[in-house]
Amino acid sequence: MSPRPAPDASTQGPRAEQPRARRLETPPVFSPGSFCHPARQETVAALGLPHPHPWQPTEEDWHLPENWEAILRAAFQDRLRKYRSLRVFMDICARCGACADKCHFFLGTGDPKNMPVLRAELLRSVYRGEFTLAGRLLGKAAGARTLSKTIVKEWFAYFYRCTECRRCALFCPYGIDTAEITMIARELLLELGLGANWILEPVANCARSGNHLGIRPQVFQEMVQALCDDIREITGIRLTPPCNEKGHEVLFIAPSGDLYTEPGVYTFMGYLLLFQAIGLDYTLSTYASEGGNFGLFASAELAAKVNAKIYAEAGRLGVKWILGGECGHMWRMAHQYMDSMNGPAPAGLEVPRNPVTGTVFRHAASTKMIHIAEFSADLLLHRALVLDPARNDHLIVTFHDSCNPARAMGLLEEPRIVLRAACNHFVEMPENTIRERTFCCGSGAGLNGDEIMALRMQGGLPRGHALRHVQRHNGVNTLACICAIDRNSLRPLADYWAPGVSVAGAHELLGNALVLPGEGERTTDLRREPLPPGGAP
Amino acid sequence: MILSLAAVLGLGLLGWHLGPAQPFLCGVVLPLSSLAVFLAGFSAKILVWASAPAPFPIALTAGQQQSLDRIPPRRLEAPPGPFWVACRLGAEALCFRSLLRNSRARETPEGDLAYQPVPWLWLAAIVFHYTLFLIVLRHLRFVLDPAPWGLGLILSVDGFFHLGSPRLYLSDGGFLLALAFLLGRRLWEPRLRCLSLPGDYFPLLLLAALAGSGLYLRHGGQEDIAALKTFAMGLVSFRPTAPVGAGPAFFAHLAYASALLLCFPCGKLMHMGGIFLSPTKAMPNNSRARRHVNPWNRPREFQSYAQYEDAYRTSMAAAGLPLERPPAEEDAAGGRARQIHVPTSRS
Ligand code: SF4
Ligand code: SF4
Repeated sequence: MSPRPAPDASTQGPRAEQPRARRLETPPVFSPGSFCHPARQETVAALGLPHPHPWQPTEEDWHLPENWEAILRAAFQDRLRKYRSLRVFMDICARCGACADKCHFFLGTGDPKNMPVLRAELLRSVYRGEFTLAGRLLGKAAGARTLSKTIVKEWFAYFYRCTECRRCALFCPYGIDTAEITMIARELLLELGLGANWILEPVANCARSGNHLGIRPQVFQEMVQALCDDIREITGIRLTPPCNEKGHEVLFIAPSGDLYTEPGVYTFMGYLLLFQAIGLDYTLSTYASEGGNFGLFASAELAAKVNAKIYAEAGRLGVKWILGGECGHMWRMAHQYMDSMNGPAPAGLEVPRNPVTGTVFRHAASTKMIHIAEFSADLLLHRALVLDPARNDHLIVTFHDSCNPARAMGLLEEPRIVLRAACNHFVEMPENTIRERTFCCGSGAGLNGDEIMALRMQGGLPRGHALRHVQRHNGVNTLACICAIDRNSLRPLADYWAPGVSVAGAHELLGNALVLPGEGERTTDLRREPLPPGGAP
Repeated sequence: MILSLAAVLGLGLLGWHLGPAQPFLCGVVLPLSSLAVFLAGFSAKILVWASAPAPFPIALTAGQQQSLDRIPPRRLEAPPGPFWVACRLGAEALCFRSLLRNSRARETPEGDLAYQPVPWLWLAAIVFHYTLFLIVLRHLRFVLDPAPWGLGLILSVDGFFHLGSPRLYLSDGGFLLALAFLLGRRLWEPRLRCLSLPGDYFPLLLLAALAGSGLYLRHGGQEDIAALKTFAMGLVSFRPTAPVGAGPAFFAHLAYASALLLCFPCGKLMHMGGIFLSPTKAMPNNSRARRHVNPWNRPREFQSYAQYEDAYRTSMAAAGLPLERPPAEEDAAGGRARQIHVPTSRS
């Protein structure tokens, strides 16, 4: 594990800014813990990406292909043709500075180039220098630069220090979305064979075995079985979740992280308990066993490839609609990209309809996929679930809005309905750090590798401070979330910034509280920790 | 900053000296050609933007989506359709809504970061843009004869305080104050100084010079207003006559105005048009309800289920997973496959 920053070095964030740093002239520094490991040559080759080659960010020579400038120029031009967003964002920034201190990486590191406006300017200056008349004529006076190898390094440094959280876009008067710029910049780097291993490795796995970790079908099945065994011991109920079976109503897809890491597994148990409680007619799939999509953090092309299995499998199994688990970027994908990339949904699919309450989810009329929080919230609003929230009485819960559901979907109330129903003690973090203004966990967009732990803890500063605040003032001991990356990344964040707070998925807490027909008396929660006294029904 | 200042001063001097000597060139050719460049450049930019496709519906949501009937949606923040998109854009363009959200990170006594609302930038921006608009409107009286009734009303409200003669306009004062604030923060706030480009100072200084020369014309110089009006009317009716007898300050003013028009399409001033084409704000958040077509989409190659089953048939059979084709059919190792029971549905 890489070195973590000393706490007081990180709290310096907003004060430690270096106003005297010449704008774009300081070369990027690759200090330990601040950069992603480069993608391995074999991985890049396996994905059929151009110019697989060995390289190291810390070395002087990155072994770029001979004609790297021509490649970049052509790729940039191509993206300008394909994306109105890029065109407009390259032209209209007024450098008003409203976005500057909205980025958690700037707040946490104080590095001026982590201000969203300057991050975008890294690309924009090249756009001016290469593609605009004023930039070519006036050069530096117009804020223009021409391509250089240092700029390529700078791009790798700073576009892998952006978690595509879109908080900057919320405050920008023109909606300039640095996340969009980051996504495109990463695509450009990929054209030179430069990628992050933590991102491309899972994509390659996904292409091969259906999920990020490369879990084989048999192992997938065994893991589900192991969770069912735990559920039987805790509740006395035996579950047999169908897998790869045709003829069911719903295909359920979760981020695979929920299957193999703590605390995600408890959330997965929560999903299964919920389905059992209402007798949902569903199936899992080993072929489409990954809702998450690290391709989204690499390029539109890879995102589409990874995602394509979902509709293909829904069509093959003949389900009526798709239900998606708790995951942030998976939902960015499902909500904003899936239909355009791989739609329309297969012919057999219907507009999702809750079989218990009869609610027709018209807001998913085209995609045919709904979020499990929407589904549960609907059940709860119709009082279709029997709950014993006292089982969660030992928990004082707060909720971290993941960036994607909050700012790319507007899924704000649904998880809160679930949490308020499942827990008696629910408090919000300070107003400017939740809902649409939520701060990133610091580890999104594929920046959740261990090698950048130092960077992640710095980026997690604003969230960490907000959490610490409610821990001190409200005794919060549980941070709930609806994202598989969060479930992993918020743990070290909490350990670092607010030790003593544990992390749980919303459906884990719902699973704790759910009273199932025919269940025995529970003595522990899903983590096998004893229930609070008087908690059992 | 220095660079921009020099450029602006140079421009003024040029107008000041060249103008009276070459009234037709500086009074007619320059403004009219700048106007042409502005119009052509502005529309070309808009066309270039609009002609690039918006492949994905990447609306930015700033409030509750429209989902369940019992959860009240915030339609202005997560617009479910074109009508609400228009409202959202209207609110952005007219009230600068996102800027109003602005906050500043401060450390609390406990050492935590907290975020306080700071309305100053919003306020300055509002005053700046609206007074600028009023000032442009006011100039209409030079080209409209008789001045329409509404304009007269604006003028009398604007000159409400009967200060000075000719009267000082409120909008001029507001404009100069806002301008000073916007320029000042770029110079004094370290963060802003670090991110500002010459292209940020230049328009501000240009506007300051434009306003300065305008004020001088109105309050300081002895310009013949009637003659100027004749000249302006000539310009807009495309029967231009050279403004003979106009003072050097007038030519400086005109040179500044022309420079503003000239640099408008190639710099950040285009934000005026860009907001309406910015996909994060100009797209509805209904991407699951209605399919958004990406014009350059193409079918992808990906591992099909059949390929997947081929790769994992034995393992899947061992796990009791249903198969499209039973292992015996193709498993070369034969023996292993036969030990595996052929699964039946278990639900
Ligand atoms: S808020 Fe928008 S316009 Fe202002 S500096 Fe940031 S990106 Fe540019
Ligand atoms: S998208 Fe998030 S991480 Fe990236 S620049 Fe904006 S605020 Fe920072």
